[in-house]
Amino acid sequence: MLSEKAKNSILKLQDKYPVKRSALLPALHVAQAEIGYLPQKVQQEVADLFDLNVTEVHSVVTFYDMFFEEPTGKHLLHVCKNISCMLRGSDEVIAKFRAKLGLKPGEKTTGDKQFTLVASECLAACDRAPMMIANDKVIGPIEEKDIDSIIEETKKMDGHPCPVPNIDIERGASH
Amino acid sequence: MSTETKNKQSENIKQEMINLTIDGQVVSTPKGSTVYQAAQQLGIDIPIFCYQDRMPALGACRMCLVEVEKMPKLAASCSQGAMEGMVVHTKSKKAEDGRKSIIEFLLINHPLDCPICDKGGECPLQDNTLDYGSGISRFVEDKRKLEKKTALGPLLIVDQERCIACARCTRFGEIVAGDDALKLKDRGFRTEIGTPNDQPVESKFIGNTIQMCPVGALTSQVYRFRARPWDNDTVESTCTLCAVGCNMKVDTRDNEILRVRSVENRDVNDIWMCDKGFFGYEHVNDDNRIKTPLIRRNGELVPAGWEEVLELIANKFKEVKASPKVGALGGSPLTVEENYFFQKLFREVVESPNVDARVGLSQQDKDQEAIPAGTEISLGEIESLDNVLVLGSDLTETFPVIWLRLKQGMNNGAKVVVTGHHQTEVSPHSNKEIIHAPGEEFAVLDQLEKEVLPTLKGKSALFIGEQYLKSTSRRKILSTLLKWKKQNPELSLNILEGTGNDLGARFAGMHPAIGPAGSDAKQTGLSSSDMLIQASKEPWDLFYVAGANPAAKVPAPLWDQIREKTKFLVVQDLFLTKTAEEADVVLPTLSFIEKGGHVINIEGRIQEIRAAKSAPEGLLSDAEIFTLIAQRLGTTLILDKEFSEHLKVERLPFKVPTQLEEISASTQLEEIKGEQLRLSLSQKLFDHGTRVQYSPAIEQLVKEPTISIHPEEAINRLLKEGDLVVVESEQGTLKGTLKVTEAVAKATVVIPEGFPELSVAQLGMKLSNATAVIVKKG
Repeated sequence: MLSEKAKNSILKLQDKYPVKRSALLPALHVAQAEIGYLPQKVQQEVADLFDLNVTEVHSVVTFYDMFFEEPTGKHLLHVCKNISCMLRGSDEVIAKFRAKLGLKPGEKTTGDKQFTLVASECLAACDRAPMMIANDKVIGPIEEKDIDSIIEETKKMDGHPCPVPNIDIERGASH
Repeated sequence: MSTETKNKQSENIKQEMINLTIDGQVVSTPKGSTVYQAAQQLGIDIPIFCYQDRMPALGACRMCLVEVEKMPKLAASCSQGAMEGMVVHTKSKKAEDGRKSIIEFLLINHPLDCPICDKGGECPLQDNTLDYGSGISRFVEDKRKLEKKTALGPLLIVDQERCIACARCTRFGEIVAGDDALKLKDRGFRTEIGTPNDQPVESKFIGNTIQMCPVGALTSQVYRFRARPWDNDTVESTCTLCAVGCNMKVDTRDNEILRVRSVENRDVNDIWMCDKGFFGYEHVNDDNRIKTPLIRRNGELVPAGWEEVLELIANKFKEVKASPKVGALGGSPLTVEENYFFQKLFREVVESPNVDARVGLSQQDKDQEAIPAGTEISLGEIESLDNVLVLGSDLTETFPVIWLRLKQGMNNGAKVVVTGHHQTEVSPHSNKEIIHAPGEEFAVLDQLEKEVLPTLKGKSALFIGEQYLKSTSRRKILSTLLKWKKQNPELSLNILEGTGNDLGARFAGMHPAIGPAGSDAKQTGLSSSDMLIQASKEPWDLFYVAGANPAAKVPAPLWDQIREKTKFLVVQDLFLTKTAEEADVVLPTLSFIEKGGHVINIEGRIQEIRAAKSAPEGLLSDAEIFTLIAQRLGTTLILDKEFSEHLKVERLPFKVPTQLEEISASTQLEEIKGEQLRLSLSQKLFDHGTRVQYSPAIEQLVKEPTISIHPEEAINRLLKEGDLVVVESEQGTLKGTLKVTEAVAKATVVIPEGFPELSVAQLGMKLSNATAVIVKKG
């Protein structure tokens, strides 16, 4: 359930756009920042705030790699897998991360719920391929030898960020 | 740029033409056309998947690639604007190679399970592959494996492997139906179509997506694995399950109906239909249909021969001839011709003026009614309206395809104002909405007169529905609307009420005050509710009921009295309805798919229905039954030449008076006392009427009927959602489950009609909207 604070933040976001539907992406970030992820019930709540059908919200949530329908780890590692990064070795980078984090095939989140690894669609920094975003930090070009230190540095961060500035909510129930 | 200004501009520049060359032929096309449209003008075939001409071009599938000189890459002709001097090649090597590649890409992950796919034989992907593909696959890798049979509700099955992500179905939900029923999920090569967690799809129009799908991704559960298209016999007919009268094709195989598809008619349904139309035919195949005439012997209904029952009825008719206590009820599911015979049989052979098709419907006399149902504009014109006022009409539940036409009108820039006793599926799309309690119609009309009427520009239309029409103030409301019309000549009046062939029954003369073709009845008879009320008080000689179920439309104790006092009851129907179960003689008859004739839709359009399959053995149509009975009484029932002439016009004229005289007899709104709320009767597309009940697929779409009130009223009465409540009127009580929702106006209780398990008829005869009732804990 979204808190009243989160709902109010979302209503305020809607006021910033001529068409309130345009506020859907930041609203989903707010909801995700509070709950930690976006289960069906929360998608329904957001849909209700926008007078949208939940099918529409669900379509948006599944389209973007930054939204999660399942609980995630505290830290998010998005490694780009699109063409520029792939040609520059992202497959190997992803494999290395999986091995270091001890992720079994099919797993995205480590057993200690510290990391979620996403092989991501283009993150818009092809000049730094192969690249990644650790929480909100853009890193690249990644070399295999850097991977240990990237994991260590990420551990020191606050965790999964919310890109919407100045919102008044309690962060991350799932962390 | 808003759609509206875009449209205005396209109107202004309509005459501006541009010239281009396609495959060596010069074509002149209006500015703003696409290359695809220009090619269509020349009759040049370009293959498509995602493009559907009722929706804006998307350019997602790339099937329509063509070569345009001086452009570096192939262009998608569906979205490429035609430009002056353009030289286009649709059959050049480059274009053909491009399309060949697109087909090859689409087939990489398409399962090619055509032998077990329902789309096989009528599949654009098959056809385009044959016409434009290479014929040889170079793909040797593994295809992706996805869910192949996900049922999304009782009608639709999704095969994710076959989907080519053209987005036709999802865009239909966004653009045409406005219900966002299906959506694209995930992205890239993982894209699927469906609903969150494969929940049942929430739509009244999903059959259209099955028809539009260019591959076998969306198929019908009802038609699944039943036939190949080339095995089917197809007959074009008209749907009579509501008063829109969508044009349809019925596919049968071995004399069994397998499916119904829509047929394009720009004036009526365009290319659409609702799910009741697509799947509501199933009752015709149902095994519960009455198979022989039945006669009551020793208290039991037992099978009998036609000779015996017809003779018995003919003899009864002789006995009761010219008696004032004889009545003919029903006619909505019958054709115009059958209704004509029905009233003629009673008026001329039995010599009874008591004929009425309006069983359980609003039965105001001609003065109160003021203007009968009908539309000034054709349904096709709705798409080009600038302003629309929908007053008290739940469009998607009563005239579903009118909503699709109106939504297209909105896509073209129409502004829509909605008023009513509760929110509807149209509400989220409206530009302005006023929700108000029954009885407050005049305050709302006043507000509209001040705020909305002066802003109307261009072609405007009023659609007035049953919430306002089933009111004791109907005449006064219509009189106000006529005043508006006088001020604004471009405002059309459209009265949306009734269902099936109600207009046809009336035109044929199944009305106590109206004879065939709108003539005055020679002798005015009793309305159906007056007949029933009289029969509940004093002995009644005979009721002949055809295609109606009066037992379900009056309070149960009243019906018991009626039945007791009625000496002879004949019921003619497809199924053993509550009325039929208590009849002396039951006559089985034919459905609208097994007979021919004419029906009249809400716009007064006279359309044909045709037999798509032969009649079940031993059954006769309503017309045949009436004719045989008349023969036994020495009369030959024929359609008068004069009357048949009337059926030759396309649409009956809809005459709107310029004004209505005030009549003193108009009833005043009853006062609300204390805890009372005002009743509003609602309609549901999927109700528990006889035909839905015996159509297994859409029967599953019926939602449990509830008694709905506003949260404030619930708090005041210490009631909560799900409580069992009792509704009390002066004439009766009704028990049901409470729904508490802000969608309903305050001081209002909304109860749906058409549910035997929540029979609003128990609250009394002649119910109107705004009847005062009490809601309390049951």
